[in-house]
Amino acid sequence: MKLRLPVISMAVAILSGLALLYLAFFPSSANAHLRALLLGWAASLGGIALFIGILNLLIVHVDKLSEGGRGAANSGVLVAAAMLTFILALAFGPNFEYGTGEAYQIQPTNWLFRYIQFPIETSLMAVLAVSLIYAAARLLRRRPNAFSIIFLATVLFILLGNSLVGSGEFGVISTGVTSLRDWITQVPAAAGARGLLIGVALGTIATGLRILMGTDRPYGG
Amino acid sequence: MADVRCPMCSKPNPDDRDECQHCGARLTPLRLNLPPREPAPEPPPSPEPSAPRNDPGDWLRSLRGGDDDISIHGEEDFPDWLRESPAPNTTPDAPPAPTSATGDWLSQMRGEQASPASLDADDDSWLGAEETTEAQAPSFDDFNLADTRVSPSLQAEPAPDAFPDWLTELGPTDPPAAAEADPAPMDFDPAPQTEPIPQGDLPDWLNDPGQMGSLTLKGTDSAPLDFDQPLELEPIPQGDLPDWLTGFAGEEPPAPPETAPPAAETPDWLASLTPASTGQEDETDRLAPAASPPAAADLPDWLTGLQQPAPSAPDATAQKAGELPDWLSGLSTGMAGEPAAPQPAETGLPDWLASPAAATPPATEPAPDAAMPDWLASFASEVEAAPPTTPDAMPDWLDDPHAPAETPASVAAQPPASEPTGSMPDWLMELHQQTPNLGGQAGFKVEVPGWDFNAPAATEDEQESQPDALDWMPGRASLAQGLLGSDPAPQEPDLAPGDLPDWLKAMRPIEATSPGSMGSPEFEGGKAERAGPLAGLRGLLSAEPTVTQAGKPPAYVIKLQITEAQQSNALTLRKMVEAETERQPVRKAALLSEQRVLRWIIVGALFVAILFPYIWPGWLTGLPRVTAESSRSDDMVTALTEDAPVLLIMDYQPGTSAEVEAAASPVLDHVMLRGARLTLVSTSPIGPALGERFLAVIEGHHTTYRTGVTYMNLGYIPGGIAGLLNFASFPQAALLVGYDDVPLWQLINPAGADPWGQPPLQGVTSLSDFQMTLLLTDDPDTARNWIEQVEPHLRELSLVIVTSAQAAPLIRPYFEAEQVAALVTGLPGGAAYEGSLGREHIARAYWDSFGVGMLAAILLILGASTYNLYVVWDERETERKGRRT
Repeated sequence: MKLRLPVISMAVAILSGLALLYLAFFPSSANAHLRALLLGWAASLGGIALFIGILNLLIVHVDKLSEGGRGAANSGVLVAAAMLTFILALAFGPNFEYGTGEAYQIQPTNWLFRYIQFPIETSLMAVLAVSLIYAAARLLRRRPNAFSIIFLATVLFILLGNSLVGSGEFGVISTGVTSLRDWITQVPAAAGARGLLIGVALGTIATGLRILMGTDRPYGG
Repeated sequence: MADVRCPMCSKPNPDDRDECQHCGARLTPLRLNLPPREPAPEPPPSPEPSAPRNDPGDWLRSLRGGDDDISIHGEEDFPDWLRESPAPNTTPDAPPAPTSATGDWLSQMRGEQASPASLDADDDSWLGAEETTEAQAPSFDDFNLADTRVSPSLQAEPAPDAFPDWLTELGPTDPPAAAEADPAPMDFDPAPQTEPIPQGDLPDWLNDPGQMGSLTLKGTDSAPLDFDQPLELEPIPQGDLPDWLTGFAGEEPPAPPETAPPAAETPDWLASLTPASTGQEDETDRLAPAASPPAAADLPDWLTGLQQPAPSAPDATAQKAGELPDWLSGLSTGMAGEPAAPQPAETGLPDWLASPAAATPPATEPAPDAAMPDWLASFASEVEAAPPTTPDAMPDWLDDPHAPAETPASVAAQPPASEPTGSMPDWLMELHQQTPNLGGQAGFKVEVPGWDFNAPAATEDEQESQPDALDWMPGRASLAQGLLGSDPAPQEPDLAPGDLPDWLKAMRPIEATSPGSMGSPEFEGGKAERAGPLAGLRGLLSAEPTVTQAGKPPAYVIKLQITEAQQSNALTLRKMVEAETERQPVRKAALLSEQRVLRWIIVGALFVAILFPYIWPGWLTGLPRVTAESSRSDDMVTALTEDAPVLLIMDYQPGTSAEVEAAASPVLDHVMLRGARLTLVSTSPIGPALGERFLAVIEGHHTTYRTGVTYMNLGYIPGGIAGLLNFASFPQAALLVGYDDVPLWQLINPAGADPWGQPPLQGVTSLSDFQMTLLLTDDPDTARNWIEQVEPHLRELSLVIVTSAQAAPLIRPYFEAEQVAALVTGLPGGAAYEGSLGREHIARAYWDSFGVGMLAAILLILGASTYNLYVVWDERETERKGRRT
């Protein structure tokens, strides 16, 4: 049994991949049902995996809460918030709102998101702006080389094109800066992006072939 | 119960045992059951003594009378009792002759006894006529000394006339059956025999005291031999003895002592050896060799050499009480050098068992005694002529193991033995010649290495002069040849101990000749073995383990000796290890550190820049120009029909929602202005919530948009890329329940919550039914997934992506590949779209603060970088100047 499980897992993975590959290259009404079935299974498994991940997170924090010690309070807040949101969404629906008319409508679930989660994430992103400017300002202090200068110059030109200078208020300068910004974003940046995308695509193809051939078994076994 | 000591192992045993319980030796002597004594036959005429052969083995082979071509010394040479012994080939009834040399003559003699018809009164076969068969032939085990029990074959009841009378009288008169049932052990102190053997039963050669010696057997016809009685031998007529025996004839045996020896249990021949017995002189005299030598013409040639002049009277001092007889003492002549042993009378042991005495050996031969046969006396005289040794000296094989071993020097110090005369046989002569180091003793003498463990170690000189360990077997090659009867081969000179022949020396490698050739000092020199068969050899393994050898153990220096450099390195290493565990003091950061100041400056500048338009509201900046990719989105939205289904994908994060929503708000506003029905989906779990929030912001401008009426939120698409493909292929099957306000328990009946039946999704069965797909994302991978999986199922050139400035470079190739119809990038794109739309939304509100803030960031970065460059340059200059100085 110990030896059979890896073999079964590999056989299922290879057969499923080959089937989907065939269905992708040769779609027809005859095999549409099979394709829907396999894709439905994959989507369902993805949803169940998300649910298991959330459940595992809760278990970990519950253990930390039960053990006590440092960080137990944070774990308690997390568990409470998760349970509250879950119960509210199950009980009232995710888009529940009550109130009529144009008056203030209370949407419990949306309220939690809108006034707690959303501000927290946006605030963290706002601090990132200050950190990036500070890092850029000290870049030459840490790495005083040509590449750092080139990088900073590029950043300044892009920022300049998006700033008031690129708004066209400064005539030729604005035109020149805007053109430079467009050229940087469309030529060097796009070229680099294309290379990255091609590399990603090739890696995806190689990974798929390895899985289909059974040499790579990320599913274990 | 008195204990009986075993004669072999000297351990006590119960009195009622016949055999020793430790070693198995017999405790009681074994009594032979001999047939009644028969009248002694007439002595046959003595044959003419033939010339002794030069072959030493002839006498033995002649006795055998086997298939050898060596003829017997003529029929007339042997007495009748020996002549009538049937040859193995002549007597069919006789048992086949054994192959062994010694067995032929013995079995032959037994074969004679097997035919009683050949025996008569005149038969003086002294072995009796026991009919033996091949199966009954005694084997060597029968004569095993450890088992003195007589074999059944020998104990069988002999024929009435099987044994001569004189031999019969030697044994007990008990029937053989009784003896066989309980064979009597060999009795070393037998009971005195009351019935001596009648004289007439003895063969003539035993009755002739003149020829044989002084043994006289007395006894009645039917009486067994009385060992306690002095043996009285009557001289055998001259003609009755064979030639080979006539040579042994010595002097007239002395008259037997008149007085009978005291009634002791030991036989006379043994009693003479005991120190406590009386009349020891008589016994000694009796055991002295024969006095008169036989006539030269009567003896065979090989025996003539053994003839010795009449031995002189034994030295009184040597033959004193407790001393060994001459014939026995002569065996130990070569082993002189033993320390003086205590007198036997002092130790209580017989002379021959006592330690070798220090008394000087007799210088001359002892006087022949009537008790010793001439043939034995002649040998004794030769032995006595050897270097003197004490009569009490025991042979070395009986020596005390703790006595000091004999050294070659002591052997060499012995007076040389007198050369024997030509009376010795040749084979014996050669043996004598080849043993010069033994003092010229006869070949009977066997040198045994002295296994003296307590003796002081010999010096190196003595060790080197010691002979080889196998020197005690000299002339073994010639001795073997003599026994076999072949001509002695020319003897090669004995190799000196340790000497190699020349031809072998030439082959020896050079390293072997140099010191240390063996590669180990223990093979050179070293301590030579002093005892045992390997005496004299060097480089041997110790017999005793090192742990048992007594000695002071070597003193080892425990103190570790290290150098100063090692000590300093160890100290440094120790400091390093200790430093790791030490707590380093945490330096408190200065309140006005450079880093803190810079951060505060940045925050302040950004705050000022963001708040500037609100502080100075009259100062506005112009919106950016519309780009090509953003102008196409305007055209596409403009081309939407009223109530067109539009798929709105909300795949961005709350952190980047400010930029994405600022860029997407004019587009979505434009779409909502066109009256399109929106369908919200997302591959992010919080996407539906973001969509709801975004629409709530936009709805402020459009009050007609309601969920379930003008837009439908389908919620989260699980499964990642597979879910996208599933949604793209089977959208109605992929999303059965929307992001609505239906509780969980109402979802049991999915039909009631089917979103695809709602008005926003009417007429939409696949994604191609959507006139436009608006993707809002900040991640280039998400955009790529939608493009790769879903775009093929969309209507052609209906995908519009609104993205942040950070993902735009990675999505632009898809735009240029015309997989993406329009692309709106970040706040500038949204601001430009708003400018073209003519409706101000979030982008316009953010644009002034964004511009000023961007400018502030540029200035900050530029300034700080410049300052840092200067600092770095200054440090390098200082360092360079420092190097120069």
